[in-house]
Amino acid sequence: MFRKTVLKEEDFQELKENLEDLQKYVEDLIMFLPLAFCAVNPFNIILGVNQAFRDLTNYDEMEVLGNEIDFLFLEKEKTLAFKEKVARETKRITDEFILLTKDNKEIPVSLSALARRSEKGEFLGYFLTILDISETKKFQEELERKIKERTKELQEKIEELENFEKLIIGRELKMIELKEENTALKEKLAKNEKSG
Amino acid sequence: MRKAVRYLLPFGRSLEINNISKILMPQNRISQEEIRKIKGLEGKARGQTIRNALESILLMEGKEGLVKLERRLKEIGCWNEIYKDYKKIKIFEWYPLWYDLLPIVVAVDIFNWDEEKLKQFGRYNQKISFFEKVFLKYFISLEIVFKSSPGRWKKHYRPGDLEPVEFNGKEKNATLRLKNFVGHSSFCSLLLGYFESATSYVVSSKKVKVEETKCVFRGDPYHEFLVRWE
Repeated sequence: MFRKTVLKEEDFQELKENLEDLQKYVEDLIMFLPLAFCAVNPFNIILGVNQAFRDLTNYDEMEVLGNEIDFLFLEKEKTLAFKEKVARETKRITDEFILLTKDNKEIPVSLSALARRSEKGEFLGYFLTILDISETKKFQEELERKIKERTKELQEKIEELENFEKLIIGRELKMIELKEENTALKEKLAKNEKSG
Repeated sequence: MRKAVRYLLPFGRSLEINNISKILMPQNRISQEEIRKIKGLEGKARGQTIRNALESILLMEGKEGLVKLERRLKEIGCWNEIYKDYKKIKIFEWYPLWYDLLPIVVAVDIFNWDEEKLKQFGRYNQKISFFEKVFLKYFISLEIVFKSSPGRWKKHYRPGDLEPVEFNGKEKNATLRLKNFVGHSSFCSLLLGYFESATSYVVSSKKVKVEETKCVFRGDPYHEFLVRWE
């Protein structure tokens, strides 16, 4: 049997004020976040997005709310696997994807998602953040290009050095050979002088 | 061929038409009598509903639309200061029902919204609702969405009982009944869009149709909605 709790008017008022404060806190926090954010339901349907999301994707709020998240990403099968993993796991899941913006741009992004669950453990959906990693990717690609260039330069130097080494060793061997030939001739000459 | 229906308009008026959209295209501006009666409606609405309505008008008609609405509400003496800075409306606070209904009825009047526009308005109201984002536990399955209707209604309006009458997962349809709530004829179309949007959040198909099969403005004792999905 449960007992019905009757709230006093002042307690009720306080509770309502606390709720208002909480709601404002949540809205302010989401709007302030410089990171693109969206709330997704268990059917992978977008329930809410923040300003950073709109700035990154160029979609208006009403164009995305009520749609499945799939249309935002290039890799369809990978997105499906990601969604399944989010629903299964209790920890944060992160992976890289290509984001498709409204103006047909393809932006490399890092997706992070954390499942929301009820007290009974039922999957209620998830929060999703989208981090634009195009600058990081550019930097990484530039770094890789430079490493390749330097490696090539180094390989050429090594080859030059090897060729030089081969040349030097060849000359050394020839000199030894000539020296030995010279010694042999000298010995032969000395022998001839003695017998002569 | 669709049968002509006799519509009982709010406050004793009636009209026989064969296309519901006509009822939403006002031939005349709202009369003082109608305003008086809307203001006299008993009941209350959460701040959330008023905020959603004004935000949806902004989405559909732009800032200019809100200016027009303000001007018209002032003309008819129904301007309320909470509309001005509507983003500051306390969403959990209860307000008189007419605070929510009048801007909608006036918007239908000044923007000549037809039924489709009103459904769109209802869809926007659902999509931007803070409650709908927060109460995720209702979105686990369509059946839970359906069964939780009474509680969800009471979070938005008093009085009114939104009863889940029948849920047929096999046939893919459900019936909801709204009792003890009169509202306004424009509000019925808004609800069609609202229910349609809420249903589409939990079914994989985007093909969701909602039909009002009974309506107090057609002489029925309550509103009844048939939701169908594919």
